[in-house]
Amino acid sequence: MSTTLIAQRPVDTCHLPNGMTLLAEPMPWLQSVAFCFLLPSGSCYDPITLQGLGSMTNEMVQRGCGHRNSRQFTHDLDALGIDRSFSTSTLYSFFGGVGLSANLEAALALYTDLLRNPLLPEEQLEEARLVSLQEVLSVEDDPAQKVFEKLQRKQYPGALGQPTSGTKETLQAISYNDIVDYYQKGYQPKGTTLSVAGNYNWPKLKEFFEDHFSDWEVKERPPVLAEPIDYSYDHLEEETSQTHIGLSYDAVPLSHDNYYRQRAALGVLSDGMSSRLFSNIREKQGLCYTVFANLQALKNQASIMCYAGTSTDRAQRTLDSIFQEVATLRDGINQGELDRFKVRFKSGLIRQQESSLFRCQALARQWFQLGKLRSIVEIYKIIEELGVQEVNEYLLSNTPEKFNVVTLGAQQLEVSL
Amino acid sequence: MLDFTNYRLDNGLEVLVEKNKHAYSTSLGYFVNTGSRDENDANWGVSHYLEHMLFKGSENRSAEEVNTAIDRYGASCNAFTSEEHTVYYATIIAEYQSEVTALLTDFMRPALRSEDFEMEKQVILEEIKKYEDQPPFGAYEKCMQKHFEGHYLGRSVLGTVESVTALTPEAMRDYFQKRYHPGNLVFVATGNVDEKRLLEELAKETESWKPRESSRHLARHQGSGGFASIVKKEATQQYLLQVSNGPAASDNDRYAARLLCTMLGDETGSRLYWQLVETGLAEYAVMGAYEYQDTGLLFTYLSCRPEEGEKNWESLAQIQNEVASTGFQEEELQRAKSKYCSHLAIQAEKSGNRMFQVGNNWLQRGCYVPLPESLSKYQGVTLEEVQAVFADHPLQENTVLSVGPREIQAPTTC
Repeated sequence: MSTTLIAQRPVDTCHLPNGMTLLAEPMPWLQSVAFCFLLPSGSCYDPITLQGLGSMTNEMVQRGCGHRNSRQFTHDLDALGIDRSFSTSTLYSFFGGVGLSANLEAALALYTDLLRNPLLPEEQLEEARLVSLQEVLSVEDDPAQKVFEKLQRKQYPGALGQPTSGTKETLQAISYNDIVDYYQKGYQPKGTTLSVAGNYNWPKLKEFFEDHFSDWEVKERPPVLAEPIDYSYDHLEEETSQTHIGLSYDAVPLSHDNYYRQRAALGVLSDGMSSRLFSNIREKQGLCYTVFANLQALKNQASIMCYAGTSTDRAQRTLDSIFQEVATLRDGINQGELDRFKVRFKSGLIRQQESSLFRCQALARQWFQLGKLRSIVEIYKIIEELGVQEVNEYLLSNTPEKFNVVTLGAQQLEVSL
Repeated sequence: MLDFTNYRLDNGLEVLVEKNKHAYSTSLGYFVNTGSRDENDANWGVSHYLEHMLFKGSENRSAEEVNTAIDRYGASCNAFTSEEHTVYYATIIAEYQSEVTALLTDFMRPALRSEDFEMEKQVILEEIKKYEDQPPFGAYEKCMQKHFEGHYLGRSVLGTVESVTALTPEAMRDYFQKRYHPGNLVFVATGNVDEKRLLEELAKETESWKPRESSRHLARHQGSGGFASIVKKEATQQYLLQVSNGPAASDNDRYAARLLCTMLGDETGSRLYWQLVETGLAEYAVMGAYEYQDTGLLFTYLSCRPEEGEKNWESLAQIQNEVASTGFQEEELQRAKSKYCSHLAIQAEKSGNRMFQVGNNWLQRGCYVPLPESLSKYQGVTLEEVQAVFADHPLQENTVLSVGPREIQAPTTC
């Protein structure tokens, strides 16, 4: 495998004085184009008594813009064949779409109108509240998601860990003025990115961007700071078929020097069918069907979260085995494990080139987390140059010692933290 | 852009190759014409269990060696089992084509060791329990069982705790012998493929395979109908599943049926969306068309707050009845076509998606459908053809199952 399989072309960029950025990666071999607006306005800005405000504002923003009501807006996007995705997470609000390249400009015009001139129809506030409430209720029926939500709250105390969809109580407390206020403070250009990947015309795209966003007025908001973590174990007692186990510990974000060493270690722990969690817990012990660990990265904080679901009578052994695998990483990984991680990771980088959607989101995430872009070739080389010794030195000096644990099921487990 | 050829090796194995000169990846897969509909009461769940066991190695490789090899070649490798098919596939970069073809071919001659069988049984039982905890809490399987009463499609893919517990290695080996042979398999390669090398290597690696006869019971089914409400106190939301008859895989009206589902029950912009989801009355209200070799389904799924259960069901029936009698508007059809065709064209940019399209078409219909032909079939659908789907497959003749904290009463209009 070599970098000759990487066709990535230089990313086109345009920065506006108001702090908004356009990033575009040409992929002329595709028919499609993907785009997304990422606004640095997520659930971390929800007041504690109004959790879910950012998410409900996102829902209200979708209900029409300019001269189009909600139905006209959706129908116009459907007529263009744009597959869309709108969401709110801890740190940002996301408005994305993917379609055929001929329809890019028309689709961007619709999204621009949505972000800058939403109708925010007051008469639909109760409907939007019900939609948000349905989301909260759906999490109640998903034990794995409930475990992750609880783990998130423990790992990021305060505003950074509050549930993006809110709670039944906080959603009831949100007023129309709260929505308007959140929109006015949060939907602004500073730190906002429009990323595009696929088949597009750069001069036209740049002109569109400058024409439609240069006059967007900046609103300043202070960053949300992390609060100290009180590592502990919580059990949620429920009559479920399985016990759902979540475990988390501190990690480093994308901007950290150790990020790719950590990524390699996480790969050995959980990527692929020869990973330690899959191999030692599922394959050799038959303890569960699902077991994995992944990185939950904010901007300045990150954590590794592990999950497994298993029968109650085998839950203690499963949890102990996960702890054991995490602890054993301290003893180091071997050359074969690192080599397999590298091939998997590099192969994934090459395959990304078939997806405009993936590349578009990668640009947005990188810019948000790093304030700069790393090319596919650059990342490829970082991975290729990783050595067993440096990964093992990293693991030895960064052994996780503090954990948060959440279980959901019929029986509490024994956990010594 | 896409260049297709099909071959038949001397042993009867069919090989389908669709090359895409713009692809960065290669997708390879064995599509086996077997699934839960080919089982009986004594081996219920064996197709899916066997799919797991094929990852446990052959006489040449241990389970650990299989897993290590998959990762060594950077393969994104997995498998799935449905009512009609079992598919083993990998997406890779082209330089590992030979190694991964050999690995997948080795899957087709598994050791089926008894000790691996017992260990994997625990994993399968955990998989069954996992789905018991997830919405709609087994209601899909129960609804299918009710709709397909007396038909082979009524048996769930995973089986039950009891049927899987009762399975033996001998029963699995017997099933394997009957279903896994070159006459019942298709190998599909899409994307960046070295065709010449692939054919040479496959011919050599499968030289000893002998075709046998495999049959399948086929019978068009009229849904059994009926309604059941299962109370699950721990659930927060109420779930409603409705199944009615639809076009089969080879029926020409399947294109119209899919567009009908898009107009009536797509996730956004559909009739159900505007009346039930955007208003916050339901969390989810969607429709889909599922096709099988001899029959088909139109499937509706709704989740909502328990107290809204009856009201939403009544609304659902009203919306469906109304559109069946008055029809859709031309602009609705145009939007549905635009959405559907754009989605198909974008999906085709990934070699993995094309592999599933090509393989499924071949197993279900015995033919290759080029992407432009698929697109033009959808573009050619008329409002009259959509309306004919309602006439031929009335949505009112349905099987409905509800699960949630409340016992739901059937509305009088249904």
